[in-house]
Amino acid sequence: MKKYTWLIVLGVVLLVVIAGFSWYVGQRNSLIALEESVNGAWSEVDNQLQRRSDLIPNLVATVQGFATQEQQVFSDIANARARLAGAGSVGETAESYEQLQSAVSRLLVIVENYPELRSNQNFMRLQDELAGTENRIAVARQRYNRSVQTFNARIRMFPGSIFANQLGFGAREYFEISEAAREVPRVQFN
Amino acid sequence: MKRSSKSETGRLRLRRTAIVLLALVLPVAFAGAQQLPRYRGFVNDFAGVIDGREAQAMEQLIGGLQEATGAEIAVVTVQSYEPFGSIEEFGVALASEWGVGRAGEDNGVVIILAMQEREVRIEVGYGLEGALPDGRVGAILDQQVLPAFREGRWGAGLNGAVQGVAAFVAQEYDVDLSSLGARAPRSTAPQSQTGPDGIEIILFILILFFGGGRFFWPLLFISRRRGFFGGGFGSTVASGTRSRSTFGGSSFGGFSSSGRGGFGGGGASRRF
Repeated sequence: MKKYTWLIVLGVVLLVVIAGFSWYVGQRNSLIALEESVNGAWSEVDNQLQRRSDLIPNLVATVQGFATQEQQVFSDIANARARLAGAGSVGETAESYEQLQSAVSRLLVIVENYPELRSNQNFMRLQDELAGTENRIAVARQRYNRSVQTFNARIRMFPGSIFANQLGFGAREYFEISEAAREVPRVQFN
Repeated sequence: MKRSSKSETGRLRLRRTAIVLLALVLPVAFAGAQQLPRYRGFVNDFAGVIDGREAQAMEQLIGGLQEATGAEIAVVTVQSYEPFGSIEEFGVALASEWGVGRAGEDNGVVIILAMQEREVRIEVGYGLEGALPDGRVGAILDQQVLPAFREGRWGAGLNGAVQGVAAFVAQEYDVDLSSLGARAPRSTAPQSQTGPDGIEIILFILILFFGGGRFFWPLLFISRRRGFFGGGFGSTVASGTRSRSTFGGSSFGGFSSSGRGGFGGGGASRRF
């Protein structure tokens, strides 16, 4: 009789251990999946930022053909672009992106003074590509932030919070930009 | 979340908690989604500005295009895109919600006209960003849509957009559009008669004559090498595949897993 009791106790303990272990594995896997979705969303942001940055030499070359004396803006843009390329963290990236954004919008203000440039077909296409890329960045940014929100909530809430620390999952940084930089430059030709 | 298949009690409880949480959060998070109109068909004239014949012509062309290529176009007119902040936001939300285009291929295009804001946008799915780079979409808007809009001929302008988009998509899929037998009347767009090659040649000539050819010769080579103009002057097919794999590729797994076409904000908008 006593033998059986021990067996039952042993069985229950074993069951609990197995259940606990598989729960742990499930938690861990789902955290990994979430973190990967954050990484995936970030790579899309990065992708679009890269594309944005790559468009700029074309834009500068086009404008330079018309506006040779505006050297200050051109060097500002080159600097901001270099900073974006060297940005490490999400916060740094967001900051250098804003700088690039403001330099480019200064350039676009200058363009206003050159009507023949504004009506240039090549420039119009370039402007469209630029606006489209802005918009893609906005979409990618939004999706990234949404995935960060899910992930961060998960690792901070019970029970995820138990494992997150121990497994080395840290809260991820949002890609936040100021209201001014959020504005998508609009193409308007008349 | 999906990977762990173990269904222990803890996981079940967690899932139940998650469902409860979701139920609490969802109505708030998707308040915007509820404002989106319901999909009716290829042509969704919510603003009531397209006359029957134009709508029919568009439906025929889109239907033919879809049969031949699988790519899908949706035309939408609304009085206003409120409460969305911009036509771009509205465009992505609507296109993703409706899931225009085939899953995995992400080959959908949504053409949106907002009457009150006087804005028009062509939203391009990931899979067609190679065939329809933003610059080209802008050119369609400038040449085939805005002239008609300025005269208040909404249906004709939208038809021009459909024709322009269809011509480029057909070219991408190597399909002859004229063989579809669903050719829409070309009341607005002289360019579309000559097809995409004609547009490219005209743009090329325009740049040579009006744009100061001297400056742009070197630029042409830069753009061809980097493929930013979607190969507007070079080979369309090569740069099409290139930009797709570069820009859309990483998102195939991510955003189109809902089983419908994915959109990442590509396209162009105009005020008129």
